[in-house]
Order: sequence, then C-alpha cells, then structure tokens
Amino acid sequence: MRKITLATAALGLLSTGLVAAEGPVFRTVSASQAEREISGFTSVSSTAAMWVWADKQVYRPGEQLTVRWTVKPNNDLYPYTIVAYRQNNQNGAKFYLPANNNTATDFFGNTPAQGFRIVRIPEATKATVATVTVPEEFGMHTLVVQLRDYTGTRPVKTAYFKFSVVRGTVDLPANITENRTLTSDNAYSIRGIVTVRNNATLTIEPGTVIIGQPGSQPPSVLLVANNGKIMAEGTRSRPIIMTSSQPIGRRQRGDWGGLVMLGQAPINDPAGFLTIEGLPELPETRYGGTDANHSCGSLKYVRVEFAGALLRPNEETNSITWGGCGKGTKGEYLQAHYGLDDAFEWFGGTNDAKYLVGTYTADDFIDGQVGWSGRLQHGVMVANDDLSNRGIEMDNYERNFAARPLGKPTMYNLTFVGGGARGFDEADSPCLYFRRGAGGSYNNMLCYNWITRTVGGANIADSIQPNIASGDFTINGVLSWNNGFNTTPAAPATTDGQVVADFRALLNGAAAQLLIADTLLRRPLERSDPDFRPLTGSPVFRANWVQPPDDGFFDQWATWIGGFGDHDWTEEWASFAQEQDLQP
Amino acid sequence: MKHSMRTGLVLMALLTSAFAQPAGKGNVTGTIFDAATGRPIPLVQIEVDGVSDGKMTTDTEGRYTITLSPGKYKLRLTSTNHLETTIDDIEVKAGEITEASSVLQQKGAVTTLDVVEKVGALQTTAESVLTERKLAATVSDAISRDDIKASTASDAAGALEKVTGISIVDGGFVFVRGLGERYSSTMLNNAMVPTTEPERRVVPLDLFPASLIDNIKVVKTYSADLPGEFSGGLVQMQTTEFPAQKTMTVSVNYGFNSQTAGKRFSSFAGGARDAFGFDDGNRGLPAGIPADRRLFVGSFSDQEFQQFGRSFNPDYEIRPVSSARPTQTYSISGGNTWGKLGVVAAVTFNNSPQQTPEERRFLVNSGGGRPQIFSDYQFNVGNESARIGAVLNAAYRINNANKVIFRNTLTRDTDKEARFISGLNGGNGQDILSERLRWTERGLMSTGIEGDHAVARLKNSVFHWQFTFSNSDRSEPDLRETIRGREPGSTQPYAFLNLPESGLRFFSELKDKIYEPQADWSIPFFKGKFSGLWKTGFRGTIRRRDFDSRRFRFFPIRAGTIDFTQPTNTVLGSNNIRPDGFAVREITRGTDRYNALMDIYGGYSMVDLAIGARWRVISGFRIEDAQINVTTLDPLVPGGIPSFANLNNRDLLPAVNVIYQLTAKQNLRFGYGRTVNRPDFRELSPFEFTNVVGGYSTVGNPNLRRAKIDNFDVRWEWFLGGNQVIAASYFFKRFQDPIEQIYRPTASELRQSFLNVDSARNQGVEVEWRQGLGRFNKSLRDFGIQANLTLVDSDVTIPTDQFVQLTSANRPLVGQSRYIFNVIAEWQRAALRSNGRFYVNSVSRRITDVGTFQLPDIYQERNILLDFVYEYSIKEDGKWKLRFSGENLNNNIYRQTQADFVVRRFQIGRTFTIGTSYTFF
Repeated sequence: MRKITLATAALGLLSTGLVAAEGPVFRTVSASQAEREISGFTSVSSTAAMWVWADKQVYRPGEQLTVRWTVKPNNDLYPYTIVAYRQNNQNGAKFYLPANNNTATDFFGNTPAQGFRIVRIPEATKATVATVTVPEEFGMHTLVVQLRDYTGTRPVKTAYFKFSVVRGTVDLPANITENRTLTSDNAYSIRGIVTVRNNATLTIEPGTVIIGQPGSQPPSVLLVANNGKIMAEGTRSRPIIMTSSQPIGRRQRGDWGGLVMLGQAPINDPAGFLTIEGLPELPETRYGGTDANHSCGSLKYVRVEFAGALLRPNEETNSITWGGCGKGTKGEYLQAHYGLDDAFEWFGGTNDAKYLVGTYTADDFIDGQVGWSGRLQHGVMVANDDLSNRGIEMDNYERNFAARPLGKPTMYNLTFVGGGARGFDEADSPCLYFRRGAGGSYNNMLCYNWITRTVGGANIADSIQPNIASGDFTINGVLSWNNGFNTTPAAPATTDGQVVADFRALLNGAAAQLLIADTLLRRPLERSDPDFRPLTGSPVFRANWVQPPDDGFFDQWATWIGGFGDHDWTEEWASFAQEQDLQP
Repeated sequence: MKHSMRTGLVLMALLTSAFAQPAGKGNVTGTIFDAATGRPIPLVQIEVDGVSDGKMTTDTEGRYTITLSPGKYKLRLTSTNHLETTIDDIEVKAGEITEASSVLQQKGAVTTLDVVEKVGALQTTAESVLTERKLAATVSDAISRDDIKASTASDAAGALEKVTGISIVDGGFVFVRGLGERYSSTMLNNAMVPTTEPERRVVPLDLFPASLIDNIKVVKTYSADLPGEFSGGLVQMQTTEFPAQKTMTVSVNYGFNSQTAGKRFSSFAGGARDAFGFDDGNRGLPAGIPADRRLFVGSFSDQEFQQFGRSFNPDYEIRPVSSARPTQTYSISGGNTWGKLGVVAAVTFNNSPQQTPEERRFLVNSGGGRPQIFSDYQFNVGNESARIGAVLNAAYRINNANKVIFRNTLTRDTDKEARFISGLNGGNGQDILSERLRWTERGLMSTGIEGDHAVARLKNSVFHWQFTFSNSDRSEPDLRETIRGREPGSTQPYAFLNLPESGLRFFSELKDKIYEPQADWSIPFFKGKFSGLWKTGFRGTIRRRDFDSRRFRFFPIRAGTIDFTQPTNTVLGSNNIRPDGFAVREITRGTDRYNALMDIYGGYSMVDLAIGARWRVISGFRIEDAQINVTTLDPLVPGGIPSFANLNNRDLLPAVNVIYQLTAKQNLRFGYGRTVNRPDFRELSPFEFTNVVGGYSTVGNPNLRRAKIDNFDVRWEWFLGGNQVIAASYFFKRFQDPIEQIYRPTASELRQSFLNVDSARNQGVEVEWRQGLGRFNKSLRDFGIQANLTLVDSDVTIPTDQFVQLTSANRPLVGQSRYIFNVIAEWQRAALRSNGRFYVNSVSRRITDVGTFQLPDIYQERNILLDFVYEYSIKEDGKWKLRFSGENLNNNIYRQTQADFVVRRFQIGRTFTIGTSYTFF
C-alpha cells in the first residue's frame, strides 16, 4: 500500500495555495478494492467526526483565508473520496479546493476525468486544507469538506463552516426607531444596548453577521423593546449569525450580551410588568401586558454565539431571551452556542418555538419563569466537559410560587446530553428540574450522560403537588441512561435513584412515564461533531413515547423520544465545534 | 441665632476671654443674658467693687472673665438698654474658677413676674446646656459633655441614643421622632458634614469618638437661620471646648466582650499596621493593572490577562486568630491659654474586635400567602475596628469685641471584617459557604475659621462669619468574596461556585467635600414694650462628590480543567490562573463612576421679638436656591450612556416660634416651620447602584422632586433649677410628595428605587423628666433620675396602582418605633468619692424592610439595653479616677421577624470595661 503524505503532495501544490508543513497521512485504496469493501451496502453512514473552520467570521475581499480541518476516523475503515469546496450561498456557485476555482476536483486536485483518489479516512488535527484569497463576492459563503463514497458522487459525511464576505462593518445606533433592514453584504456591530423601539421593525437578511462588542456596560445587547419587532429569518444555507468580535479559537462565553425580545403578553407578576433581568430599568426594558397574541417578531435559522454578558454582580443575560412575547412570535432553528447563562429563557408570555439547539451553555438549556406557557418541540442540548447544568429549569414564579396565570409550557421531543464536569454555579443540576410552583407538560424527553440524576426539583410537596393533583403538571415518556454518575455515591439506574423523592409517585405509575435503558445514539459525546440520531435498535422509537396533541403546532410524525428520528435537522446551519478545537 | 446654634458657650467663653492666670489668683467668669429673650448681651460694663482696675465688658457672646486675688467680691453690671444688676458674694479662690452668670432686665419692660436675679453660678455643663435650652428660640434636646462622659457611649451615635426621641439604626444613623436619616442633617461646629457613605445621605455618627465631642444638640423645630433641609432633627455636634486654664488628661480603657475577648476570632491576613487602621498597601490595586484602561475581553492578550490575574493578592481565606485582644482605648487631651490665645487639643485611639454570630433567613411566598424559608444562613462575622480621632482648636481674642476661632477635626475609622456564611441558598438550591474579606477606611477632616465682632457704633450689633471646609472619604480596597457549595444534605466536598459574587474583587473610593461660607449680622433693638433682635445672614453649602470604583472577577473559562473542590486559595491560585483556567475580567460598569454637585445658597431674615415680659416671638423666612447635578459615566467603559440629573429649586421657607412664659420657670412653646427634603445624589441617577455589601441593588429615579414638609410643635417645659427639668411635647408633620423607598422586582432580584409618594404624616408625643430625688425623700438625696419617653404614630400612603408588589400600601414609616424610652438612674456620694449610673434604653418594634409579594413587612423586634457605669476618685481632688462599666448587661437578643418567622437573630455579648484617667493640671 502506497503512502503519500500531504506534505509531499503540497510540494506540487504550493502555487495553488495548499500549504502544510506536516499533515495527515492518506492511505490510498484502489477502486476495485473499495468496490469490494462496500458492496452490499445500500446506504452508508460514517462514524468519523470532522469539522472545518477558518480564522474569522467575516472577511473583506482580498484578505487571505486559511481553511483548517480536523478529522477523526473513529474506526471507520471504509474507503472514501474527499471533496472540499467553497460555496457562494447567494448563487450556489462552488469553488473547489485546493485550487479555489469552479473546476470540480477532489481534495488532491484530481478532476473526475483524472479519477478521484480513494483513501482511508486520515487522522488530522487542526491541519490546513488551503489558503485562499477572499473574492469580491459579498454575502454568506460556506466552506465544505465532504467524504464521498469511492465513486466520488455520493456524499456520506459533510462538514460546513459559514463565513461572510462584507464591504465593511456598520455600527448600529443605540436606537432603531424606524424600519431598517440589515443586509448580508455588511457586518453589523453592536456596542451597548441597541434598542428596536417606537413600533419599528428590524429586518435582518439571511446570511447577515452581527457582531457584539465586548466590555460594554451596559452590555452589548440587541434589545427588541415591547413596541419593536425583529424579523430575522435566515435559511439553512444562510443562517443569521450573532457572534463575538474575537478571533475564532479565542471566543468565550460572555463576549457580548445577547438577543433580548420583550413583548406585551401576560406574565404572572402582580404588577403586570417587570424589568428584564440584567438590563437597566428603562421604559424599553419592561415586559408584560395583556395581549396574549402579541408578536415580538420572527427568528428562523439564527445562531447566537458567545453571548451572555456579566451584568451586575447578580445577573447575566441569556443567549436568547423572550420576555412577555405572545403567540404571534415565531421561532425555529435557533442555536445558542457558548452562552454565559441560559441558552433560552422565557419570562412569562405565551410564545412557542421549534428546533432549538443549545451547546456548551454555562447554565440551563431551557429556563422558564414568571408564568411562561408556550409550546416547544424538537430540541437538543449538549454540554461539554467544561461544565454541565440543568436541561430544563422551570419555575412558576420565584417570588410567589402560586402566582397566576400558572406557568404551564407544553414540550415534546427534547434530547439532553450532559457533560462530565459539574456545573459551576449549581451542584444539583439534574436533566429535568422543576421548582417554585412549576406547571406544564413534559413529554418524550431523552436524558443521557447527566452528572446528576434525571429528574430533580425543589419545593415540590408545597408548590408543585397541587399542580400535579389538578393535572397541570405532567411528565410522560422519559428515557434515561447513564445519569447521576458524578454524584457521591453515583445514582443507581432505578426510579428511586434517578428521581427526586417527591416526584417518584408521579413517575412510578404507568410504564410510559420513565424508562431507564441505553439510548443507543450514534455519536452523542463526540462534542465538536456529534450525531444525536438513534442507532438501529435504539429504544427511542419503540419505547414509551407519547403522541403530541394535534393542535396544529406539534408535528404528529415525531413518534419517538428525544429530538431526533432519522433526520438530522441541525445539519449545515448549526455549529457544534468546541472553541478549543478551533484554536490554530 | 448664633447662641441657639451652639451649646457649651460658657466654657468657650472661659477661654476666649481668658488671660493668663497669675500665680495665687483666681478667675471669675460668666455669661450675661437678656431676661426677656435669653440672648447673651455683648458689651455689658462690669465693675468689681473695691477693685479699681476691674472694669471691663462682656464679649460678643456675652461672656467675661476677670482675674482677681482670693477674696469675696461684688460685681455691678450695667448696659445701655438694661437695668443695672449686682451679683453678690462671689468667692474667688487661688487657682480656681468661679462661675457667675446673670440676666439683665430691659429698661422699660413692665414686669410682673419674678425675675431671676441671678442665673447663678452654673456649676455643671449639664446645667448650662439646660439653660441654653430654656432660652433657645427653637425646640431642642441635647446631651452634655458630662452626660457623654458618664455614659458607656464610645461614639456620638451611642451618646445620642439617650436623647429624647432618638433611635440609632444600623450602628450610626439617627432616627429622630421616628423619621429616618433622610429627614435629619448633621452639623459639626456649625458646619454641614459630608458623608462617607455612598449609599447614605448623612454621615454615620459612629465615626465621631465620644471623647472628642463636647456636646450634641438635636434641634427639632426649624427657625429661619438654619439650613432648610431637615424635618426630624438637626444634629449639632460641638468638639472639645476651650479650657479656662492649663489642663491635660490621659485615659486608658480596656474592654472585654463576653463573646469576643480571649475567644477564637475571625480575621484575615493583612499588613503590619492593620491594628491601627492603616493599610500598608497590600490591598491596593496591583501595580500592573492599568489605570487608564479597563480589562475587557479583546483589549489585552491572554498572556496579559494571565499576568494581571496573577498580580492580585491570592488570599481569599479567613484565618481565625486563636484569642482575640480586649478592646483598647487611649486618649489624651489638653489645652492652655497664652495671653489672648487659647488652644485645646485631643487625640484618641481605639481598637475593638467584635465577633458576632448571626442567624439569617429569607422567606418566599410559597403560594396563597404562605411564607416559607427560602434561604437559611448562619453568619459569623469578625470585625476589628480601629478608630483614631483628633481635634485641634485655637481661639484668639483680639479684644472683647473681636475674636477669631480656628477649629480642626479629624476622625478615621477602619473596619477589618471577615465574614463567613454557611447554609442553604434558595437561589441555587444548595448549601453554600461564603467567605468575604473586607477592609473599609472612612475618614473625615473638617477645618474652619470663624470670627465674632461686636460693633458698638452699630447699636451693639454682632457680626459673625465662618468658613469651613470638610472632606469625607471612604476607601474600600480589595473586597474579596468566594462562595463554595454542594447539594443540600449531601456529603460531597464543597466546591467553588461560579456565582457572580464568587471570585469578586471590588475597589471603591468616595470623596465628598463641602465648602461652606456663612455670615450673620444681628442688631438688637429696644422700643418700649418691644425689644428684640433683627438678624440676617446667608449660608452657602457647596458640595462636590466623586465616586469611583472598579470591579473584577475571576471566572472559569473551561471548568473541566479545574478541580473546584480544592481549597479556595488553590482553586484561585496562580496555577489555575491561565487562559483556559480562571481569567480575570473587569466588570466595572459605566455607572461605577459618578460625580455630583449640590450648591445651596440660602439667605434669611428674622426677628426675635420680646413683647412684654411673657411673650417672645421669633419669626422669619429663608430663601434657598438649590442646584443639584449628578453626572454618571465611566468614560473608559464603552457603551455607557452618560446620565445627567439636574434639579433646580427656589424655596421660601417661613418659620414662626412663639414662646410664652407661664412662670419664671415654665415655658410654653409653639412652632411652625416649612422645610424641604431634597433627593440625594444617587437617588437622582437613573442608573443602577449595587450595594455589594448586601442585598438590594438600587436604581435612582431622575424624576424625583423635592418634598415639602410642614412641621408643627407644641412644648411645655418646667425648669426646676439646677439641671432638673420636666418637659412634654406634641408634634405633627405633614409631608407633601415625600420620597419613599419602593421595590421594583425583576424576575430574579429586588431592586430598590425611590418615588415621590402621595403623602405621609407623622405625629407624636415626647415626655422628659430629669430630677434629683432628694426632694421626695431625704434618704434619696444621693439619687437622681432622668427619663424620657417618645410615642410616635406615622402613616405613609403608597399609590398601589404602580407598585402592587408591595404587601402594604399603607404602613408606618420605615424605621419608626411606636415608643422609645430611656431611664437613667444616677447615684452620687461625695463622701465615697463615687458616682454611678444605670441605664435602660428601649426601642419598640419597627419596620426594617418593606414586605413584597404578600410577604409581611419585616420588623426589628423590641430591644432593651441595660448599661451600668461606676466611677471612683482615687484622690480627693478628683484628678485620678477609676471607672468600671458594663454594657448590654442583659445580652439583648436582636431579632427581626417576618410573619411567624425569625428572619434575623444575633447577640453582641456583654462588654465590661475597666479604665482609669488622670488629670495632670
């Protein structure tokens, strides 16, 4: 078997920009060998993990962009061809790497006519793929590396990195009082609080990058006041990215404040309104009212990264916060990545959301209080070894457990994958945590690898028991595996071990309520490139799932436990890479 | 009026008019008052019978001092507008001071009353204070130097606790007649004092050591010559006065607290000068931290952040001392006169450790108004306080008509506090351990020069001028706090928690200055039945404040790389300060720096009119222009929105006081005054101030207006002679737009704010009785009793439509007790060279915090304090004294309750003090 290192290949490729002093080892496989090896498989999936990135989120034309990748074969010994390209997501045009032109080649510069080279998956850690000059093509682009089958035509695995080419960075003013549209040919900078108010609508085009500046006090926050609206509707190929100003690899939780939307839907504070956590008290920072159908706007394919500023000694902001937003508010395909506080938090209101991704957030994934009663379906939270916290933390109201209207959300199909380290602000951080009079209906929840037990809570006997008795608090269809391993002693895999005492009666009844079994997910703990879909034989399809109500919101086809069936809805637009895995 | 604004005038006169006392001679001194108005009369001719060279005049304050050979004398007093009076039988002894004061009747005044022919020799300062009070134009209560010295009080706050209608809150803040610190002001030597507390309006009175204070008076009704911003009371402190002759006293005291002395004491590593209250620099901001840049993400490289992080003092842990020292107090004071110059100086130093365990709970409404415990803590606080105080006053008497006084006061109070908290934290549902190390230096420097000039050519009018500069500062360098936690009830090791208070380093600096020029001109007039004084003057109070603070926090970047269960000093040790471990970040906010100015210019005109012998009417008005500006912005913090608060007001403040003399010894007083209450600096700032010290964050309200208050008073006084008095008062106050604290919760915390609420009223009754018991029974002649009782009823109405989180929309004022009483039993027997006092002080329950969310208001329950002092003169001449005192003999249990729960409970232990003092001259 011939061995060619990338270094030797690079000697001939330096002129085209492929630079690597040392790199992964590619083991070439002959076409006939490859055909023999995969004959009989109709669909191929790879256990390999792979991610790709550049140094910055936005580039100006003419700048140099270095494409890097990391590949871990994870015992996948099948032969593949490798194709890498940059795609202009405005017009779909592809520019193949390493040459960076529109002639289709494989990773090694071979055209189809020459025949793509067939290789085993290499081990590559932070290796350079190519350095290219950024063209004058404004808008969002994607760097793609694909493992294709030996024929070179069918992609088996794809890694994506989104970046934007911009004319420049536009500073957003402190107040947006008239309708305004942000376009993807610019980056937009937020310093301090940028408030959309005075009945203005802020429209953000797909593929637009918004950059929160650090160090600002009050923090850099995009605040949609209760009389403003945001229309940020990206697409799978052109998500809207709100991120840190720091170079990739050095970004941290809390580099900037985050996205806050306030509305006029009911909350259960007796005053009828409150000031949002973490921001100064101004007329704009109030939320709550009487319009249950109020719309704070629409978010679609939006990533909020490295947000959650330290505000006061007592508070941080969340990545995405809804306060008193009503049913007219839309939200789907949203990612909160490396937040300093919660990934998604609701303060009252009635708004719904679908397809939520929370990655490596410092606090909870889903946090609701002050009487939030919305609906959620399809979501995944993953913690890494940095820390771990709660998957759901639900209160009715901290200051009055019995406040009305009762906070009563309805949730289906959420996957929670914990991490190895304990949470650093709360020792008791179970996957599902209910306290302070919480109500709601929690269904088809998958909890895996949680350091503390599956279901916990506080003030249950006093404040939640009445809701259980009245049917306002239910949990059904919980699949639990490998939880409570980091407590002393480790929590046993029994209902008693996995459920806080006051909830045991609730979960001990019908078999549908709690199942403790190996979840059999594909690659849940491969942090920078996880796959939360079930393996063949996973209990998520056959176990104790419950049918969501057919109310027009819940997808009836989601007949499984957790956030995923066979389709990975996080592909392309979401990013799971851990920051330390992106350091040059 | 000048004389009504000060006390202890008699003693001051001793110095200001004193000549050096030749060997073998004695001094006669005194004050000459007008019988109708009680004002001192300047330029009274004094002739000593049989001494040809004894002819002289009283000074601008009606004082005189004459040096005579031993013997018996008669003084003849003559004045243009008064009847001639004689004082008989004045005995002069070598080396001693004989006091002889008197009153003069006005010519033409028709008198049917017994005139006090002699005010008599005022034997004690307590008496002189009473005399002044009797003759004062306003209602006031006071505590004299003798009373302060005889009590267990170590500072001005403790001394004031014994005064009618006063309660002390939070150690140093005065509540007068149930009205909070907001409604009181403090003056030192007739000048406004800036505060050392960023969150408070007035200076805490525990800053002033008792040994420097000559007397304290609380003026309770307004007259036009006073600054218009008070309603409850104006606290007037006067520092040590001038001696009549050479004097020097040294004293040493040691105190033993039953729960501190000799016991294990919480402290922390510091510098060699900690015991004296001076930081040796180890708490300063590390030298490498740039002053002109903030440590924000992106401003520095990871390596620089690591360097910054490692430059902080890496000690977060409480280090107990195995055996606490006793409390120590050392004082020295002395003075002398050299010709026309008199000088007095005093220095005091005190170091007192205090260990206080405390239980504290926070409740939450678990539904249906049923409160339950949310957080349940055990506190253990070790506080070592070091206090230094000094006074240097000098007076120069140019002649009897002209004198100049120069006064300097310096106080300094440092607290070194190690606070440990353990228990359940409801916020994150776990058992926590918190360690906080705190060092606070507070200081006040006041320097002033003043002069009095009597001008015979201008109808004997008196001109007074004064300029005072005061500077308060507070420095709180390097407050450190860490919090560890674990699951409740578990046996896991405690682990460092990344809470926002955990790993915090806080530095703050406050400077508050007041420049205060003032001048008064008073002209007496006499017209048949009417006599009086016309007085006019102005006062400018020019105040500047600068507040600056920086906050830093260590927070974990990748928690997985750190073992949080290690001891705190290891977790936050320099090995863990690295780009993927703990990083230091500056969390200074734009609002952490502000500067403010308040300029108040007031002018007044008033007439003090005696109508016949029984009526006296003091009426006048004052116009005050006030300008307040607050600018909040740290220019180095990006994104900060500067805040400018601006308030301009001109107020006309009328005042009328009427005194009707029922008999020679009884007064009936009526008073009315309109006063104002202005918002303080930080109350006007729309931004948020977090009191790191504990609890609520506070957000100002730029729309605040000043409140107006109408004050009505009636008082009956019966002066029984000597220092005996019986008095009863009724007061009523009506507030228009009073500024009240309200609470505006966000979902996760309570924010305190301020609002002009609709209205409030406050009324009450005060009774005071001070009498020797000898008149009731001869066997009780060694005993005396002082007692006072105050009953207060107040009511605030909060507009409920806006703040429905508050449980009560209608409640008493925060801090108002329904009753306050003091009983002081005195015993004195010259034959045993002994005297003793027994004190009972009781303050009934009062609201400390307003309840929200259907939780009831929090009440501080009734306190009773019992103190005892015994003093013995070792030598016959009283120069060497021994003193023994016991404080808090009953070890009062301080309790705060909310509904049926005790939410705070602590005891401070009994303190026994033994001390001695020696007077050299």
